[in-house]
Amino acid sequence: MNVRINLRAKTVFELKEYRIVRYLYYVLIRGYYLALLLLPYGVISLVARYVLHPFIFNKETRFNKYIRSALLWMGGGLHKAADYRAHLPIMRIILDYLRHHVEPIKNRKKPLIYLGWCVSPEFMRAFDVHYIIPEAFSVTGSWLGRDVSNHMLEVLESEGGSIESCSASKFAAGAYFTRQMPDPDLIVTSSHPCDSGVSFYPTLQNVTRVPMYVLDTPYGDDEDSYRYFAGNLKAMISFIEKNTGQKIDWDRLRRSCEELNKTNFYLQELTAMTRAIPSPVSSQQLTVAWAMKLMGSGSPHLTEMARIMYENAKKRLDRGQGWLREERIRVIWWDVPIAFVSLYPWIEKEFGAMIVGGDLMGRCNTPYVDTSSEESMMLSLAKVHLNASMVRNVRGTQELFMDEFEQIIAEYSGDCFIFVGHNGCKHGWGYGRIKKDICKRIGLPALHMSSDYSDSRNTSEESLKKQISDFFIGNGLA
Amino acid sequence: MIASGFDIGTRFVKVCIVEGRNVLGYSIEETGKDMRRIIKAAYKRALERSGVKKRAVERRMATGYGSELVRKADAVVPEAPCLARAVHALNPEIRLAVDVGGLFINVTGVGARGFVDGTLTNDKCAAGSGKFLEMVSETLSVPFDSISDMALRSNSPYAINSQCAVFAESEIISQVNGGRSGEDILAGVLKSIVLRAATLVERSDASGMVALCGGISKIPAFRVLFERTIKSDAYIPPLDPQIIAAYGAALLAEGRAAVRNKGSVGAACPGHARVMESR
Repeated sequence: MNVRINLRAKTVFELKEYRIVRYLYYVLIRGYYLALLLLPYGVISLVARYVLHPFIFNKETRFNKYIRSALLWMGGGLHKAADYRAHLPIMRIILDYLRHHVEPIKNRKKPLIYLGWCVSPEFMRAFDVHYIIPEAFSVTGSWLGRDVSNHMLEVLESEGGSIESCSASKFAAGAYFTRQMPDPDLIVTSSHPCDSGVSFYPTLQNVTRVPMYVLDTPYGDDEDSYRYFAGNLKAMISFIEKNTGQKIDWDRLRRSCEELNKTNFYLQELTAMTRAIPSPVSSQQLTVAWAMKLMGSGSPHLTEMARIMYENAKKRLDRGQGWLREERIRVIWWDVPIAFVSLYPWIEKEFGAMIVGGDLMGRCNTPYVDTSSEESMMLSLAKVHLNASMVRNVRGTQELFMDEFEQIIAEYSGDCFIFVGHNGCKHGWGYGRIKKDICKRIGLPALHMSSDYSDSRNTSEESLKKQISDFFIGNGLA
Repeated sequence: MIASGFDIGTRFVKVCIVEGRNVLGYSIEETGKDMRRIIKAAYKRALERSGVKKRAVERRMATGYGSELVRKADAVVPEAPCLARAVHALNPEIRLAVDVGGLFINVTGVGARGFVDGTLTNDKCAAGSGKFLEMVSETLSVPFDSISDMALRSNSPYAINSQCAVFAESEIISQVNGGRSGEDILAGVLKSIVLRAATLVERSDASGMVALCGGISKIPAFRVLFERTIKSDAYIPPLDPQIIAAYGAALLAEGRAAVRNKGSVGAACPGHARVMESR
């Protein structure tokens, strides 16, 4: 089935069934993977910097729209040769994840689960199932250009979806309505991080007519809350067992958790290294790590990616060398601009600005998973869930958010604070005044931009760049 | 680094050349029909006074109402950050900068590190500005330089009822024809401008030292009335108060160097993070 909709007065945009997955799986990611295998990293680095860089760095055109975003996510031609080594496992993670889409499309042998993006995929690894994270389409969908992203959003809105919802949820629903993912057998999600996500999944269940389990997130941050949530996780396992006819493989779950521990060690080291002046870690790396964690948490490839990034960054740290040749501005940045991923390499190149302290997603702050027993593993995974990016910040009282914010300001020597506002994030905007007051008290210049991190229809890339330029220049930072 | 700041106001073009925080030279030119030529002339004069060759100026920053007219500006910035940067460089204790110019009154809060901490401006109306004062002095045939002395001699300043400069001018003509003295009228006009500025100061809710800048602040009577109204001493910059925004623009043009120099490599990193067992 092809969905045709009048997007603009003169053109009819057409998004074929499974177009995104097929293009990513068979063309883009495989092509990049092949290039990594066949060409040495130095050559890749040179090609990216001198051949692709001008082509992808400027604004999106009809000539570069199918690769621009994807290549910007891969570093935008600013990586050094050694760091391109990390891209090989990255491609493996994406290919592994896309197989969960492609295999059920070709020949459905295993149950397919739609998994909310704040539920650990480790559990899915302990079953013989396919899983798709619908919200991941906000990342992967953008890799095919803004036409595709906007189309998915507009289809959802034309179906009666709420315009005010989080655009990640809208992308997910848009992907479903434009038939970019096969129908599920089950839905497993959570009541975190926000009510936008909570309201989206029942809608999805209503149209798919499959059983759904929703993890109930406690507000608190204490042992009782963790135990309550661990109980929820056990109930989720029973739900999956009942509806798939399978039994959880505790050994596989344990192995996944052990991998997760290794990955988190490297990612937390990377996050902490951004405290150094100059920072040896690029914010792009942390953001890519977040996206890869979303798709491949518990995968050995993820550990490999994190290890390579860590080792390279550690070498730079030991040499006293930064990611940038000259780090002029240290920016504390909140919220990752998914649709505007070009902003990261742009501020690095244009202003010598380094994002430190991680953004909302890239800052890794994940507890250690105790794999000594099933009980301890469940309790630890409850902590992992409740301390994941966004979840730890917005599920409870404002202190959960503000404590981390003040800690970041205190530890990462930022020169300024930039909040890339996100239309659907009531929490982010709700904290606006408190954030401003904190910045004012500390004397940190702050920029609050009204935009939507996944929806380029709200604010254009050029407008965001202009606001950032004015902010840097107006405060004498650039 | 040698940098220049342009403040293209509604009445005057100000250009300031700085090196570090030191002013090398500046110029003030009245606006006119051919603005680009005036800007060019003002820049040339500032360069001559500072003894600097044009090519030695590394960066140029423009601010003010006509800032877009500066063709070779590296960037255009609003007035508020320029004022904040300038007054902070002159006196870090200042928490509010009041700039009374040809058409606007800008009140800018200044944070402890010299960043903007809120701004307020008057309505786009000549009634609370230098242009109004000029109109009145022309109506009364009083030279601009004599305004202050005359206003200070007034015993009962006339309270102007009209909010609009055009109506106020008619009202003043009526008062002149009715025998009201020029001293009282000028004192009344100054008072109306002071009250507008003081209202903005009050609205800003700032606590700390207030700096008074802009062309009008060069009038001693205005300063006296302003200090009397806000019940506090105002800081008068040691530079010409009219060039403060241009000075700030020049400091901003210097960029990072003006804020602080980055310190040691890796100093802030304590070593390695540890995997946290729990929050």
